[in-house]
Amino acid sequence: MSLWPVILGVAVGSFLLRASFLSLVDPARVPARVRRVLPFAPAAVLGALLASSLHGPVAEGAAGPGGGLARLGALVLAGLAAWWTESVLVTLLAGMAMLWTLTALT
Amino acid sequence: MSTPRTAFRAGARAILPFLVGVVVFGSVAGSSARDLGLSALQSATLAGLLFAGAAELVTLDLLARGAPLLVVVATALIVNARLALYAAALSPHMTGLSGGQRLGLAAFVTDQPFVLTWRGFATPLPSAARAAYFLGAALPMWITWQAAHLAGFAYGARLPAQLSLDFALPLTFVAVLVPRLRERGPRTAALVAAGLYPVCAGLPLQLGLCAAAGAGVLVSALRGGEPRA
Repeated sequence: MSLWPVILGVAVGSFLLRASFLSLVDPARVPARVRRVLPFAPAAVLGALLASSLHGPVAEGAAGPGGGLARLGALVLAGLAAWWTESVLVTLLAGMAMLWTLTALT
Repeated sequence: MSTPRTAFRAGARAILPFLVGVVVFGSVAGSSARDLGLSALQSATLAGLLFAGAAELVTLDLLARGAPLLVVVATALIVNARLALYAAALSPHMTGLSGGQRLGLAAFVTDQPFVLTWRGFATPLPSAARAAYFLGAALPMWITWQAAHLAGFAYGARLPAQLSLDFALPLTFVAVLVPRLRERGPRTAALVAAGLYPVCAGLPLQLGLCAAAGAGVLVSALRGGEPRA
């Protein structure tokens, strides 16, 4: 099986991405314009990831029951919990409780 | 939390709630690796060196469909392209570290420790404490991922599907993102990216995520607003 080239390819490639601006390339050489927008990148990636979790699970094959509507409802409640409490744990509990409730009802 | 030791502890405390999702995701990835016929060493290499759940699941999915080597590697690296953004955002904060230390730190760059550190940097910390905070969050995360991945490989994901525990992952994204939406820049970036994702989802090579996120960054940059470095 030719699995090793793929495994090493993705692993080494990902390490180079991680190391890029941390140690291989001087961040001072990153253009100022790029540096200015970088703080927005995590928010954008998280927003897209969230949309993709409604569109289809990131973890393909890990999808349990609970259709898109139950997931949307759970995300909305979790969002309110996150806004008010700023606590990861409360957000997790609120979202899971909502998902289970909506799944049981539908 | 000004000394490295207290910063490390603060990072470790902050990552704790995230580990629930890591356990679930890691065991799913481990059992998927086994289903595909990877050896224990191959599975452990993915867990330890790749150390990126979404990219790993994409890799395994494409391998299972018999995609050619170059397509698999390229797609996984596109999914992981955000890690370069994280590295660039972390870099100015990791001053006073040797080249070797920065290289070592790089191995642990991944979503949750980064977003935590990103949030933590809202309050100024001395640079030594920043690296310690990041490592305090990243190290427990790495160890948990290895353990969950191994357990998933050995026992399969025995967690009942009825619980939908995979949903813990997007919930952790909500927990991190929503408090940041009070600021205009991140809010624009997140809303544009989320709104565009359904349009971009059809793009080939899993480019949808990158395209939507890129558009979000672009629009928020054009609108201006005060970024927080």
